[in-house]
Amino acid sequence: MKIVNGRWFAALTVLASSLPTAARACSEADVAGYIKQMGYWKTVPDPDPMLACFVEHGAMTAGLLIKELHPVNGTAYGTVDQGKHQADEHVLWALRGLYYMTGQDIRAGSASELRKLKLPSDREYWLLFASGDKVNFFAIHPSTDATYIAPQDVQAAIIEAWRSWYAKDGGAFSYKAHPYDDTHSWYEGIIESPGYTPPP
Amino acid sequence: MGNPHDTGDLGIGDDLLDGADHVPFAPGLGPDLLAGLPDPNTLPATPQAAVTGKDARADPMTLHQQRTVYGETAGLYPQLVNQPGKNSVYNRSNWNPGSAADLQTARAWMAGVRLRNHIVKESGPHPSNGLEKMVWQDAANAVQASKGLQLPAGVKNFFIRQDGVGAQAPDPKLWGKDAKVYKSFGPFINLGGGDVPKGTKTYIDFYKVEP
Repeated sequence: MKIVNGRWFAALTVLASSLPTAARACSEADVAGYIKQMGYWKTVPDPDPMLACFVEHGAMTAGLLIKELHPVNGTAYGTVDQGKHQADEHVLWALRGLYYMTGQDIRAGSASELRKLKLPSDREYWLLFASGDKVNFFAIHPSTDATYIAPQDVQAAIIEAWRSWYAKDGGAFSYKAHPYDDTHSWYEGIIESPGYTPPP
Repeated sequence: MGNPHDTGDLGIGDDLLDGADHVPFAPGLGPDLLAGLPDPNTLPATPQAAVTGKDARADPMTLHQQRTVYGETAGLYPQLVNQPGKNSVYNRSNWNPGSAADLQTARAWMAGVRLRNHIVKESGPHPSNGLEKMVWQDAANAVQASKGLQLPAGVKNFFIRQDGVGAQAPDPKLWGKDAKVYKSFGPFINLGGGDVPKGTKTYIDFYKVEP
C-alpha cells in the first residue's frame, strides 16, 4: 500500500489494531470486560464472541466466573420482567459461561426436600427437570422463556461445590465449547446428568 | 412480529377484559363457576393418577404427548362468539369454531414437536376436576390428530406469547439466532395459571431451525 501520509497511516494502524476483529485473538482483558457486562446489557447481544473468548482462556475465565457467583434473591420471573433482574442475570450468566465451557452442571439439594417446600408447580418442575433428583441453580421454561431459581440454601451449596471443583480440577480441566443440543442447553440451564435417562 | 392470524372483529376486542386481566362471565356463572377450581400453580408437578384406564394403557410416548399438550396449553381457550346466554369461556357452544379448530391444530403440532424435543412442560389434570378432564380429553384428541401430521424438518420448538405484553419472541440465545418463526396460531384466550400473561391475544409460534 502506498503511504500517502506517514502520520495518517500510523493513526489508521493504531485505530485498526484497537478494533475487535474475527482475526484478532481475544485477550484476558477482553474476558474481564465481557464478565463485567454480563447480564447488564440494555439490548441482547450476540453471545458467541464472548463464549469463544471464555473458552480461549478457559482456566482463568472459570475462576473469574466462579468469583461472580453469589446467592440471588429472585425466585421466578417471566417475560414481562425482562430487564428488571439484571443483578440476578449477571450470576446466571456466570453459570451459563461455566456450563458452556465445561459441559457440566453442578446441582445440590434433593427432589424430596424441594417438594416439602410446596413451591409453585412450574418452579418445582423446571428446577428438577434436568436430573429428576437434584436441584438446578436455575432453569428456563423454553416455551415461555420464564426463569426459575432455586431456594437460597441450594444456591449456596451449588456455589460452594463449584469453588471446590475449581480448586481441585479447574486448572487442568479441558475447556471447550458445548453448544446447544438435545441434552445440553447452556442458556436454559438444562444440562442433563450423565446416566440420567430423560423422558423419550 | 405481525399478526398473521388476526380474525377481525368477533365482538370480542379488548373490552372483553374490561381493562383488567380477567375474562367476564355471564351473571351467576363467574365466581360460582370458578369456585373449587384449583389454582394450577398449586397442583403437584406429578398428577395423582391417570384419568382413565385408557390413558394408562396408552403407549408411553402418547402419554408424554398428551401431558405436553395439557401442560403447555391447559389455560388456553378459543375466541368466543358470545351467543346470548352462552357467553362463558367454558361453554363449548360459545367457542368460535374456527378458533377452536385452530387451537386443536396448534395442539396437534405441539404433540408432533414433542416427538423431537422433550424439554417441555408436562402435566396432567386432577382426576376430580371436571373442567381439567375436559381439557385433558382435548389434549388426547390433539395427539390423535397429530398422527397424520408431517411437521417440516427443523420444527422442534414453540413459543407462547401474549401479543403486546412481555416478550414477543424467545431470547435469540435460547434456540440460536437461526431459529425463525415457521407458523403462528392464534389469537386465543389465556386465562392464566402459568407463565404467559393473561389476555385474549395469545399466540403459539412454532420455530424452525434449518437442519
